[in-house]
Amino acid sequence: MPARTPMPARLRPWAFPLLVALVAGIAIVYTTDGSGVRLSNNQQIGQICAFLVATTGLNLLVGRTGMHSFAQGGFLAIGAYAFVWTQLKWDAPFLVGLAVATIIPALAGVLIAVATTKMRGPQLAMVTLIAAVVIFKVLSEWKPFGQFGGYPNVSAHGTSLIEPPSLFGWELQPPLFGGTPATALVPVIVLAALALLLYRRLVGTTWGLSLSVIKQSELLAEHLGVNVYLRKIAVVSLAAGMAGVGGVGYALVFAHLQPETFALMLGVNLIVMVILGGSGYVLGPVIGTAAIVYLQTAPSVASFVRWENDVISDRWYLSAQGLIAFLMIAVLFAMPAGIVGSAARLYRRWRPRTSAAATTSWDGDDPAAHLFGEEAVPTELVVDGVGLAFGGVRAVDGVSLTVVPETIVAIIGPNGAGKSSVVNLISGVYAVQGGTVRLGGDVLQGVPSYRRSRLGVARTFQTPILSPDLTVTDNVLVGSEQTALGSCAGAVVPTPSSRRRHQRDLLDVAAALELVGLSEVAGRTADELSYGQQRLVELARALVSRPRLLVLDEPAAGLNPTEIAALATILERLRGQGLSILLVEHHMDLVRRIADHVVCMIDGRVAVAADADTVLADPQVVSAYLGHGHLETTGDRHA
Amino acid sequence: MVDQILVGAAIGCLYALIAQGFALTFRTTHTMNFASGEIGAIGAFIAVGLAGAGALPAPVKLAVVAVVVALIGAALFAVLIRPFVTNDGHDARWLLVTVAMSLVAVDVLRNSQGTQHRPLGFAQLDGVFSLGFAQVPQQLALLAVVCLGLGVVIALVVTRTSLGVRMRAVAEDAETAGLVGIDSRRIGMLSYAIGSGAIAIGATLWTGYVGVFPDMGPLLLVPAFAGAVIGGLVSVWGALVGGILYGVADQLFTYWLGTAAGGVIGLLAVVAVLVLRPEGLFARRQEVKV
Repeated sequence: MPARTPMPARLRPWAFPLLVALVAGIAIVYTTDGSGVRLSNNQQIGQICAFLVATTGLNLLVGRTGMHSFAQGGFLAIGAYAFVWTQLKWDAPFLVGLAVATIIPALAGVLIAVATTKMRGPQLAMVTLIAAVVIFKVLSEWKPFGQFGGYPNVSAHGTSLIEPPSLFGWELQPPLFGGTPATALVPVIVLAALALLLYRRLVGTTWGLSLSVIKQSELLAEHLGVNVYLRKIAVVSLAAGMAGVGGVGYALVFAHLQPETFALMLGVNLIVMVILGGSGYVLGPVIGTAAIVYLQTAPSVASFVRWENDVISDRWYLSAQGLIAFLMIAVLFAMPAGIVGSAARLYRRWRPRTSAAATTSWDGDDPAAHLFGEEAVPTELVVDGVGLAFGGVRAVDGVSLTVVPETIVAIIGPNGAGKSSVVNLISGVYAVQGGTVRLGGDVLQGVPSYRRSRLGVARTFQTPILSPDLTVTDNVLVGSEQTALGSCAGAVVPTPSSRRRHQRDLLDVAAALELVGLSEVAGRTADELSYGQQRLVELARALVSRPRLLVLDEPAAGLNPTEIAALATILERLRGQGLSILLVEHHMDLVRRIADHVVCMIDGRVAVAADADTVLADPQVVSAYLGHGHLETTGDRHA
Repeated sequence: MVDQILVGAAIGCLYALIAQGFALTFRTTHTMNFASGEIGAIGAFIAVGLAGAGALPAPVKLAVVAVVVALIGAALFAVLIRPFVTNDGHDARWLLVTVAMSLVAVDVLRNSQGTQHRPLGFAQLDGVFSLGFAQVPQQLALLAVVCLGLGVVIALVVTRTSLGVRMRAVAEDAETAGLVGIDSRRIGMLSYAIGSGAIAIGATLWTGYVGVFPDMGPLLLVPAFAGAVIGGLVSVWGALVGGILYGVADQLFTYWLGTAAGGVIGLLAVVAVLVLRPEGLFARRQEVKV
């Protein structure tokens, strides 16, 4: 359930930007009229918008990539201090300050990402927590940042407020003085609006999809050609940069920084905002941030605390921060998807998503020829004497095999014979210990999985790895080259050529789905499919990358006879297009029907390698499968 | 400087004990208590309450504190954490719940007890323990001996006894352990009880040195994290070594560079260790299965 990756509702392309622009416009008109009555409201709105930029960035991490970071508050603090520093020291123009305050936290984010790249779950949270503590220590204890006087302060800087920065000749006045229009809120509100637009734009692109794939399975992402290391660095630094922008907003609203504001609690509260509102939903942080800022600042909360004192006890009670934490626990139990997530579910129950709205349908002739017609270069896989040991166990021991283009090679053998290990050596899950793996002219051993994928190796897994709440189309689309090679900037700014490429990718997806016979269900979510269909989605995902070598790990496991027959036909068509296909398989009927060459592995070694009938009749193979004493038995031959 | 190393090692023993609690519960439940610092604070405040309670000898008072906090720890696990125990590494709801628990605890402690430091009132040694070449405050020596003793006993229980075997079985595969009659819920509660009780004793003795105050949690949590990640997160022995190492390093950096720079550099050193050895200094890298 928590691994869910909600996709935004399908609206007309202008609908969401228009809505955001409208709300932002109303907020600007409301906050800048200069009447003194609204000062505290204006500060609340400014604070919400400033935090919203940071929480929207955090939403990319928590909601999309599955990384829980407590450091976002620290990055916000870095941004805020960097901005104020540019104003005090350089008297820099607003936009220069904004740029500096974005870049410095983003670089700090790169550091954190590099340090945590191999970590999962709590380790990442622990390190980000350590980072938040480090940042807070530096800002609160190091002399240049003013310590308890805040930054700037009267004794060190001669003032406790930064001069209003100017933007395009406008003075950006903070919402601190009655009668002065709070012009500083204009850029703050605009930046929040831009953050929301950026988020919604990103999650719909293949770059955004690749984050969900990383959340689902880093292994899968690697096998789709995604350099998980670099992509995590990119998303962490993007989020950190957005936190920095949030910090600028905070500095604009209050014109003064107090180190206590940026203690670890801030990082915790930012995560609470995302989860409370609904992580992964574009509107989640909006609701969550508004709710928490309200709880922290609203007078009604103070009266609630007074009520607690009257009714319960004047010692044993919860004040605002405790109430926020208590609310958090309640939400985790009662509404794991957050406020927006729960609302979205209720809405979907009332009005289910109409499927297949945005999928391209296939109306060409031969989808296999479309995918593999012109470009595919037939390539030979040569595995030569590879080995692999786990501790003292030699799982793979000097295995050699060759897959010639336009052939299907099947690896068979009893459980534990090392079949899957061979596949894992070829796709790069494990590093070979001795021996070589070559695909055409390219050496594969020692090359990371994502590069092997880019060199033309595509595979499926024993148990399919799909994102359950992405549509079939999106699940297949992540197999396309763009997922691996597209950049974040390219994803945000659409160009005519990127649009055309996206259309081509969608056409490829349609072709692959047609080829595996899933066109009908293209708009469904993956969790609505049968097991057999899910396996075919994986196959289609492997095909859209136009691999030169297709590696299938037990593709027929769990399929019914009709589905197996269909699978055989698909694989034969692919072979006809010149692909090299390697499969591990237990269904001997399927092996006998499609395999040109069969390799039987026993105890990590190749026992017999020949055509299917010879291998299946070999006494060694028979005894390995059935045990000794069944030596007379021969396979049935109705296939 | 030898004094500094000894002081660091003594406080490091407390960090080590807390870090071991992380390793213990992380092995058996794939969760750990981000509110561990507050568990220690709760223990210390219970101890303050007991300080006035008659003529009980100090070890008995400490034992009462340990038992009460152990029960609290087990109950928190059963009620608030266990519902979120899954095999999904990305499911961090347990983590958020324990963080929220820590905030609720701090808030309640502040409101009810005030934010000032209070003397513990018993189990306090004022003297200085001299080794000839170096000196340590006796309270820290006591802290070190008790924490290290508890840590070693817990590590031995986990690695050498049949209870330890059951814990490891749950750590490997809770479902299969269930099939052979091991109640993973009870093992989890037990792990939390042991971890919480040990932290309560250690934190209480520590407050005999620094005083009792509600905001002590983060002061314990962050160094314990540092120790745990250095130690590799799943190793009960590694956590002990990691905690002591961090205690010494932190003390030395602070001694040389002052609290601001020293504290930062100690933590950055931890991050550097992780960059070089993500699995920690003492744990073996785990193979992925496909």
